[in-house]
Amino acid sequence: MVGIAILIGCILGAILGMNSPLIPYTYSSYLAISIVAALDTVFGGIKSVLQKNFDIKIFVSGFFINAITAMALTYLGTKLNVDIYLAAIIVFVGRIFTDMAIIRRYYIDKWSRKRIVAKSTATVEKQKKE
Amino acid sequence: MKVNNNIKKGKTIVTFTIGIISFILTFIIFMQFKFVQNTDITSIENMRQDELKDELVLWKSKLEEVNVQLTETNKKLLEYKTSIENDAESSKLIEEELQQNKFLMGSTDVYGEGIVIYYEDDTKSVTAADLLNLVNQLNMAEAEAISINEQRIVNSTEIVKVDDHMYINGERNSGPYVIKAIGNKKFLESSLTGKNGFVETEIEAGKKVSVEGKSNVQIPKYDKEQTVSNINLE
Repeated sequence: MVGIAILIGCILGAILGMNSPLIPYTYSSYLAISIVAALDTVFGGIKSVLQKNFDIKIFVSGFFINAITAMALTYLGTKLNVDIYLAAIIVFVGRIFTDMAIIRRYYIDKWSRKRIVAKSTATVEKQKKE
Repeated sequence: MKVNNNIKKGKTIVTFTIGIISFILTFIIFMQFKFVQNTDITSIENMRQDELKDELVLWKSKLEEVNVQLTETNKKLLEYKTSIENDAESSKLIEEELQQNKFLMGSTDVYGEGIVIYYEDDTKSVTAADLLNLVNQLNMAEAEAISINEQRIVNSTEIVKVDDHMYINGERNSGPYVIKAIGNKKFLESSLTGKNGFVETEIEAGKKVSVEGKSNVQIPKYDKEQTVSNINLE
């Protein structure tokens, strides 16, 4: 069910995004940083699902507030003449990698466990037959 | 039953929210893709702030260089203009001097106020000395240009009598002589017609002389080449 929602959302988003008017150059950097922030939240969400502590409120609030904060920091950076957006990108991308590592480990563990269980089951069945 | 319904409701909300979130995320990602695809990264509108700053600094320094060059060029231009003006002034002076010299040398046709003397000589008794005397008198009366029978009298003019013919500027002449002189006509006339003047003396000697003042006397140029070979500038 969730998968279908994600699929529909992605398809609709892609179609509308491709047909949307071009954004002005000035806002493009804000949009880019908000994408990174949103991706960080999505990976965080996947991780929390796997760790069984997913909370939709935390997810949604994280999605929007992270993106808005990132944009605000970028704006502040332009006003202060400091590339704050670089710091935001480092933090978000770093977190994405951490989350990705957790997700990876989870699936590798799951896959290995499945194989061990299958192997042991096969061995037990073989012993039973004998 | 109620708990089950609540769980179902909650699940639907979560599904819906995740769908919306996916939609928003994909939407902005594709918007950005489109932007990046459709923008020329080298055009000035899309340059990053740092690149623009660098460009600005570069152009500023170029502008300063060009300004310095402009100032120098303007200075040079002003110098040239001044020298051209000076040249024009000096060439005008030279032109005037040349004109003056031409008048004095007799190398141009001239006209102006003056007198015409008709000096008749039936008996051919007019000597070169008479003509030289007349020229002398006219020069004394500040004549600016003199001609005898259309022969311009210049510095090198010779007046000699060989047999019955008068040679002026190497050209053979004979009477009657028409002598033209440019200058103050009253002054010229009175210097010749005064008591014991040239006219009186010559008439007494039996020659016919008449003087006529004119407002426009035309005297031709000396048409031979005037060269010097022994004169040197000091």
